[in-house]
Amino acid sequence: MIAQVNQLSVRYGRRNAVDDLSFELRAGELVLLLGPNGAGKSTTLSAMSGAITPTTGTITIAGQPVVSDAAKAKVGFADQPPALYEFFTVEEHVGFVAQARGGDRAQASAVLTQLGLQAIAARPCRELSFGMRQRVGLAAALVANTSVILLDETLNGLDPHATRHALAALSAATARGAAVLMSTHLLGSAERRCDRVMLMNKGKLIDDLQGDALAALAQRGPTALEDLYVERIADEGPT
Amino acid sequence: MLSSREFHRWESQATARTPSYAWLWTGALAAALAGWVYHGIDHGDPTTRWLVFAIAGFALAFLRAPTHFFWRSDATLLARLPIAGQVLFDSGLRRSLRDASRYALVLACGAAPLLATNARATLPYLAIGAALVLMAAGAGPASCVGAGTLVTQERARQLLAGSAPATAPTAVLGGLPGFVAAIAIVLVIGCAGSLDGGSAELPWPIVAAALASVGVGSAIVARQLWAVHMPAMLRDVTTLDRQQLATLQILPAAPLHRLLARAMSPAAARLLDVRSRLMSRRYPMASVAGALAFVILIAVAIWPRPDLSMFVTTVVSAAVYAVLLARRLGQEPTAVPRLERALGITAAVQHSAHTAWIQTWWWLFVGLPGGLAAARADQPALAAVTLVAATMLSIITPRLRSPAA
Repeated sequence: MIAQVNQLSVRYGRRNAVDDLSFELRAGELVLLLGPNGAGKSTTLSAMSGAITPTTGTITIAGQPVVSDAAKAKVGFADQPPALYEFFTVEEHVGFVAQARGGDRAQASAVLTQLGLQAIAARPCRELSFGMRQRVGLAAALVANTSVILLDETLNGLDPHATRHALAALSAATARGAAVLMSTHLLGSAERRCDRVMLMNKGKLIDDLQGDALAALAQRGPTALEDLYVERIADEGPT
Repeated sequence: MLSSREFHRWESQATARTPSYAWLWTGALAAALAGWVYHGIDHGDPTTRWLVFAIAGFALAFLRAPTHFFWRSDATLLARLPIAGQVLFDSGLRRSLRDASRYALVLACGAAPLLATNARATLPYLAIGAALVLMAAGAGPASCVGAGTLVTQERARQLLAGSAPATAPTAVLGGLPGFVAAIAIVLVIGCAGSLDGGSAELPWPIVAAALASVGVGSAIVARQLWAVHMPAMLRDVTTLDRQQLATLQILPAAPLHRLLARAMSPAAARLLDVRSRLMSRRYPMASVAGALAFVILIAVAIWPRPDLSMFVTTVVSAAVYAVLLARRLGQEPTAVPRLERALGITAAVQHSAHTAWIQTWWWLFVGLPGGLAAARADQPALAAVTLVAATMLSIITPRLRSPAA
């Protein structure tokens, strides 16, 4: 297991954003995290990235607590929208993140090339469109060979070319053994490439489809996952 | 891992490109203070004017420290990267030193007329000023990091005890630096009588030496003992920010802001509503400082012999604080500004909402009581000019604010 979430709960005031959530991520898998707005997806991803302290529960990355420097160096995260240094150029921002994780600028350039961002490498982040910012956020999440990549609706706002670049980069990451956990409302391209689908509602994991179950679902047609989502969330009710 | 020097290099690169008017404001304040002190020579109270300004400036410089350590705009990003606590501490300390150097420059320029008149008599004031600069540069960061450590350890204790922190123990984040600053101010006021050679409970050399050594010593101790907790502080403050954002809708906007919002465009009204809720939760000190200015100005207005020095100091300090508040409005260390950008909220809408918030604060706490006090001042024309200039400053600052680094 490359990442382990054990009985994670995050409370905001009196509300449980995430409620007793447990799951594991294996090396090389691309996992979709689905759920309605307010289901607790972003909070789960933030806690796994070490940005927020869980109310209860533990998170480990390659056996290390997520707050340790060793774990932080392995985790890449892209917010929605991504946090960028506005007065850095794209290359500088990704280079800074790479160096902080123990990498170098050459790795930053390689990731930018992989995502088709070389043309805007010298542009300041503050001048970027929403879609471009998403792509730079993805580049920062991937740089320095991170082994757990957490993406919060990062595919939103990407054009078809950019989506292809992003999915190819994520496939390359899983091929080298990284685990990708990605929340999204956009089924389709991501659905076809994922190895596992987790469905959340009201802070709880209500479905975890993988292996044969996911293959069987795919056999039911191109809208099978969407149908399942609507059926399960309708059962649980929106938050 | 990034070394402190490497982090500094990256940070300097970003700072150099970020538009900043800090040195412009510093120059303007320095000139204003020098002019005001020079004007005081004819009225027999130049040193009092300088000292009141020194205390007000100290409070501002000291209380900015939390924004350099944990309420920084990049806290969310830094909390996730493997950056050592000492590196983050050094970064905050450098920012506090920059503030302290600007404060020192203002005090030095303000003291120029005093030095020209009687250099020997000015030396005790300069010594106290230097001690206040060292306190702002060293004890500000130390009290911040000490408060952050308390919060982090309290959260850890609650979690270990198995109880979820129901109420975030955040009061200490601003409370401890405020308490330390208040002690320093009380000590300076306590020794003020001895600065002119008179008698006082506290002799100024002892106070100056104590403040200077606490300033330098506390920074060294904080770096050695508490800097290691900086990553946890950033993470916990990010958590608390999210908690506050999540419960933002529970508290309504202030009634005055709700009233103003009716006269604004829907987008600006929505933004003002969010700002009103957010500022009341994140910066309760704005209301406390405003209330203090209000009380002083009303006291000046009803006092049998209205004091122009007190009036000008209060109004100018409030204007400087309004500049800082305008910057805070635009530099929320949360996901809100990024979200607003993603939602396409324009600069014009932001400007309207920020101006409305600042002007509500200004007129409620400073403009209205200041008008009454100006009418009763011994030099009403000068008081009125000061009030109008300060009001203009409060109007233009939301437009001049620097975007978040």
